[in-house]
Amino acid sequence: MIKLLSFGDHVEKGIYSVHSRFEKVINFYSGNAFVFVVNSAIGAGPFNIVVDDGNFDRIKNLTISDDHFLLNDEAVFFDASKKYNSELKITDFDDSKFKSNLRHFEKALIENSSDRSLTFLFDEKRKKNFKSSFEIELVGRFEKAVECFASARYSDGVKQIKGVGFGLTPSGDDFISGFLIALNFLHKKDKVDYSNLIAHIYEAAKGNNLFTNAFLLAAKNGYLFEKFKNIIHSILYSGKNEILENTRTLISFGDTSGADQSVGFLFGIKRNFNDGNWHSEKGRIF
Amino acid sequence: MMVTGILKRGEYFDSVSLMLIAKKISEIEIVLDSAAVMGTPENKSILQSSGLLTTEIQNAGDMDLMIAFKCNSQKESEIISQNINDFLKKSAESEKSSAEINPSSIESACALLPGANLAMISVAGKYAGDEAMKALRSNLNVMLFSDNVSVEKEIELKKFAMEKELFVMGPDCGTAIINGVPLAFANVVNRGTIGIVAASGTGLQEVSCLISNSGSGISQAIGTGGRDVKKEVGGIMFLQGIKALAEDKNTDVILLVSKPPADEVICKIIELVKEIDKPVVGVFLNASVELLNESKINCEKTLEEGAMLAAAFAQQKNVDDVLKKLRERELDLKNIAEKESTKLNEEQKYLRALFSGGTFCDETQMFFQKMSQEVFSNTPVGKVKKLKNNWQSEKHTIIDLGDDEFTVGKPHPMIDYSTRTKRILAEANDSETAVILLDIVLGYGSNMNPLVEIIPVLKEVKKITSSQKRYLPVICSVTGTDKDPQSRSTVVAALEAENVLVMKSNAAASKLTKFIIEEKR
Repeated sequence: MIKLLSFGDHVEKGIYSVHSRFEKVINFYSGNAFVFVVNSAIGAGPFNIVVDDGNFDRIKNLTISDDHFLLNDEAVFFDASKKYNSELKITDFDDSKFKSNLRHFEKALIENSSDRSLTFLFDEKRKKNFKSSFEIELVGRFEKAVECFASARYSDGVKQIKGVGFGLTPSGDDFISGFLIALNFLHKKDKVDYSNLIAHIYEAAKGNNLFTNAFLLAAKNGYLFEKFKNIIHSILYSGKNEILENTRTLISFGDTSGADQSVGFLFGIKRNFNDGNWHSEKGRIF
Repeated sequence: MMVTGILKRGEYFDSVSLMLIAKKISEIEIVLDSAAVMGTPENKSILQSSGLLTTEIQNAGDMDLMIAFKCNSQKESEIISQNINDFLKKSAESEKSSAEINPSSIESACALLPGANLAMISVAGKYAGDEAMKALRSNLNVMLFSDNVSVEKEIELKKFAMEKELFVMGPDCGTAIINGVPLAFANVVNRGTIGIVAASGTGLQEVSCLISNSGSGISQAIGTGGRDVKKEVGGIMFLQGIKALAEDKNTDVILLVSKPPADEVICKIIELVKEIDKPVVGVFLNASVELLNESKINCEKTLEEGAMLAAAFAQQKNVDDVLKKLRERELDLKNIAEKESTKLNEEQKYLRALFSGGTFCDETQMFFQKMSQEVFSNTPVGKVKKLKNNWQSEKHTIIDLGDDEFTVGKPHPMIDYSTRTKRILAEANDSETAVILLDIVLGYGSNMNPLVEIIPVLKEVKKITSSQKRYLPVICSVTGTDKDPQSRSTVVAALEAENVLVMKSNAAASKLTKFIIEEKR
């Protein structure tokens, strides 16, 4: 019997087919809509259905109705108490602590992420991990992209990196979705309207990869996956240890995806603090 | 030179798998350059600029896997392509086979294997306790590999296990050998008459290998998890393990290994051992000797001494002779140290010890307690000070790279050498480094090909130091046996070929290091 642990607030009705499957995740699609059936190690998200059944191989079909979903013809009813709210709410927080927490986040990312993540944008020494000609070219693209982003040439920046890199959601797309999350966050935090910029970047970034598009759309609309929401909460309201723990949890997703999205997020936040002054003496972006 | 492209339509991989595939391809010696990425137009454009885009892959779609590589000839291309297809096939087969035998719960696992009497649990800490309880309720002994289980849960599990006369090895139990079967990180050792109870994973590996390499063998090796011997848990399973070995007809000698237990636990151990007729040897690293001096336990300071003493009891040798031989070896170590120290320059003063085994980090610190110069560690013991920044060495530095800070998002350093290899190069570049001390732990669970990781780094160290006109000794202990899949003697020979001073044990390696540092002073 399948036990429902949580379901996302943007899971749409429909008859879904398997797009791809991994050990802890089955990606289903119906038209342009995606639903991810995951286990608790992946956690909640706007399009996630989290179940406790470890045997994902058996799951072949998914149909979602108003009040229940069918997984392999087994009906599981949506329990409102298990609905995951992907929206970020910001209440009072200490701005100086927030800034110092960003430093902790940056440090945790650099020290804990995989060799081939985009953290080389914060720590130039990590570039040496990129050895093949493909990887060296990839580094060059990202360096050009951040120059473009820093000088507000967003479309040019997106062009440099969209679809570029490793994995089913390439590193460049992860970076862009992190950047969009940052803009949405700043929109809420500073009450500055970034909606035009967000729409502009999203339009430039979306492409033929339906899977990546689903993540970009979530980022554009400010729908956050649980692990990312946790890291933002810890930056706003907690301290070093919780940031470290949440960073480690976040970057354990994929080899580089969590870290790459975090780099995009941090870049987006810091760029707005230090507009026009993003290259420090030691070759770090900020 | 030729470029080959392989297109795998609809074969998407998460980035972990993709990186692994890319790494394996790049490690093939005859591959000059390579990439393994999804077929997005942008990735194709990078392949184009890198000279890796071929007609075979130029029509790849976003959901297709592109593999491209450069090599010298058509024949090489065929060999590499075959290798790549084998990687992909193996990867797919392992997913399939694991899926076929992958039960979804403890209950369904028991149904698949009705005779099972032990469950190995390795899931996220917050779920591990509940899974362990389910296993105990199903009358299974538990090896709880997971960490981050609360101490309250650990106590609850262990008390429940006691009622059912079952074992809970762990949480955070990395190694055990039960009825000759190595579990998790463990070595292939001789079977014999020495039973081990250990609250220290690497400690258990070291003593079991030293015993096996000396010609003796292990009856059972029970891990308890490090926290078992602390005050809160009260040594529940450590004591249970001693009782079990005392009653085991195949065990003649009992060897206890632990970082310092709480005084209350030591007292309980001493009381329990009073009732046991078999010889009991104890290695309680860095523990106060006052309580133990009057006990029936034969206490030794180092893992090596403990292992050799237990082996002497098992082989009915004169134990004093064995210990005397170990002490005499110190003269040899001092001679080596004298020669090594003369090769160092004035600036070279400090030890840099980079361990993958946490117990080795503790054991080495024991040798450096009395050093007048400051000694630092990320996991300090006794007088050793805490490093301000664990990523940056300070004076004498002794690091446990298996500690949480170094392992997030990465496998344990016994498997993934990348953090350590970077740190070795950083220490080699430091003109104050006098000795680099390392451990290499072999066996199941560890890196299957450590030489591929470590030898290039050792060559790089030589390059760095000779360009700076310095000599830098690298000292290493290798924990393992020739029956391990990696074969200890093969690893030792390769290290010695790179002029590494390979020692039989971590204790010997630490002593040699200490003598060199002392000679320098």
